[in-house]
Amino acid sequence: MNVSRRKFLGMAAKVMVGGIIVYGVTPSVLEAIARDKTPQASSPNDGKQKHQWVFVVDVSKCIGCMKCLEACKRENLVPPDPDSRRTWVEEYTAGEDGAALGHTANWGSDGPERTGPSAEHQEPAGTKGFFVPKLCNQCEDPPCVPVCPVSATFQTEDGIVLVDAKRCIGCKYCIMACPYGARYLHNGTRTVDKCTWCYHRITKGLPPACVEVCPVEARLFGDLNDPESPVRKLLKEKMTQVLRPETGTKPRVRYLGLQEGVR
Amino acid sequence: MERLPIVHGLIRHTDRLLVPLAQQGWGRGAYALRSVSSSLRNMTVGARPSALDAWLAVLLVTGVLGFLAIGVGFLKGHDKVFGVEQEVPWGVLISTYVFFVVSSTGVCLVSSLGHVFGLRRFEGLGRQAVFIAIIMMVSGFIAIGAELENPWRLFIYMVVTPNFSSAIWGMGVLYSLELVFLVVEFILLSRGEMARRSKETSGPAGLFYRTLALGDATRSEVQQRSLRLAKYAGIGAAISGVAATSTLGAVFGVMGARPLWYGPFMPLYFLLTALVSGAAVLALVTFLGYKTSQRRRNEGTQASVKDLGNLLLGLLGLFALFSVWSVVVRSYGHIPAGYDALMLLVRGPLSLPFWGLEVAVGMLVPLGILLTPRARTLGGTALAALLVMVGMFAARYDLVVAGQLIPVTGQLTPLHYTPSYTEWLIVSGVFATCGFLYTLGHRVLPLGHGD
Repeated sequence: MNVSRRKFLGMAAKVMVGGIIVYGVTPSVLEAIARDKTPQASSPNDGKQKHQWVFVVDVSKCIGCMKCLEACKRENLVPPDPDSRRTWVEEYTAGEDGAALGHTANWGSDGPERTGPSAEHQEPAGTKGFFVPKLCNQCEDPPCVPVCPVSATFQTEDGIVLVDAKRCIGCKYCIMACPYGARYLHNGTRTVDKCTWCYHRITKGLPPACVEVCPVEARLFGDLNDPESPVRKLLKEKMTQVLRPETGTKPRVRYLGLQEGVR
Repeated sequence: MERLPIVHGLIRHTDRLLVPLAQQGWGRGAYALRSVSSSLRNMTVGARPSALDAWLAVLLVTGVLGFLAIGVGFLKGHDKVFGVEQEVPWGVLISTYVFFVVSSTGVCLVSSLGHVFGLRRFEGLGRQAVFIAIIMMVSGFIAIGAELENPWRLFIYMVVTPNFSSAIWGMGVLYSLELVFLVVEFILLSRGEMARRSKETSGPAGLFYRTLALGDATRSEVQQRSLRLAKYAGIGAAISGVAATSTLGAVFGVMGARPLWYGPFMPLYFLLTALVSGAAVLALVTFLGYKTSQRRRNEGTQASVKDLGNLLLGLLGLFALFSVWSVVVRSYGHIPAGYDALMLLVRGPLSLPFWGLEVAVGMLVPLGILLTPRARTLGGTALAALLVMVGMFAARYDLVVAGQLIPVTGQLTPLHYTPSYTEWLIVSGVFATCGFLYTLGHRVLPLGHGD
């Protein structure tokens, strides 16, 4: 059989259209149906959510004692190696132009100044420096959730992103999708793990472990639905920022005193 | 002709092991295994002994080493024996997976120019091409199976708790669908030949061919109907292949956190490179067939290599154009991590695989060969095709690795990734498995036009 160019192009077009229908249309329709069934985290202050938890990090207060790292590892059985981390503390110094330069060694797990800044960014004594504690932002629009092929990671109704370790196949796609580097592979369970704001504690009215041990109140936690919450008052009084707002993830960790150059 | 000593020896030893087992009351199972092994022996009669034998031995050893390395990876933990780490979790196994499955679809698409779209000059590719698409897909699945932390859960939870919005879910389903279509297409294309062989052989070998012939397929109207159905399976494979490959592109394309990958460019880039790899693989194996098979040493095969060379030249030119623009566009605007990641390729730690392998070996030299009439002999075309495949392997690696090396945290310096020996062992094992299946397929299955 021999075909004309016109017929060939016609068939090629049909294959392309078929491909578009098979993947482009079907799953998005299915997804729309699936979305209908599982309500997304509702917008703040509509009163439907039982909790509106919020985490505040005050950069100006953190002294880099790293007690939060230890507490988190103990509380959540995070493997001891520095790369396995649910929370970490980044260390910044001001560069020559005054902009902040990060040079975190081992995610702060060696303690501040114990390893010292890397040779490339050796700064003269007395240079300004500060610490930026980081953890999962529990984004309102988490980019890690829609990419999981087996729905092992999901958002609870009160807005916390969790991982069901029993389902996780360990493809690490969610690690790729997170613009904050908040996920890591737990080498014991061989599944992806992340900060849950100590979900097992906060659902019982306790603060996250890192908040509890912080000696200077650089980490604060509260429920906006609770009229007495100090965090609620704080957020009314002060301007806060979020990390990487341009990613459109709507992070729930609010930062006080975040400086230019921190990402 | 002599039998293949290696395969033969293996089978003889299996026999020695199985006979006493059977006598000691392991009964039917052992006898059944034994008859399979003896039929394998019957089917592997008639190869050129020494060269092929050494080739098979090398492939077997490399393949076995690869599978051992996969086992070591799971027993000791990937964190212990792989070069990937927390910040760079996707390594050479992912890029090898991409290399194989995208090439598989490319082979499927290029070959369907003949037996689906009816372009006569590509019709000779038929069964062999479909078989190659199948084994390349299987090889790719081995690579990603070795990389996943818990691959067995995939089969359960992709079905039980699917996530339709996940590009990896879509990719997995669509590639599986493509594989099913390819297997069905292969069986339908080979029914007549299988039926003929089942008449000529007896015992388990006969049963093997009879099973693949799907019953009595000696009558020509049955065969005609099968070939018609095969065309539909081929269309199914082509459609799911286009969907699967562009979805694999989307796996990278939807990553807003990774600017080097982000954008609608990726799915198209994957489709184009699939066609490039497909044309290259087919040019290479057609040339190999010409060299190793008396029956295929004819003008038809020569013309086929020539046509595939033309196709490869056109696609490669398009690919080069894509590459030029992807470098140029990303070097404007200085989109934070996108520009930095590009610089890792252009003048950073990945510049050797990028300029050396991806650009020089994989693009410029093959373009040079294919554009120079004197260099463009059959062997020259095959060499160009081989170089394109080398470059394509590097291109997958560059894309996967460079996309991850710019930290998303506050770290200033780029991250590092070097594949470990275990990872390289697995990669070579996957290549060897593919080669072994290819060689074995040529021994026991009707792959050629006139076979």
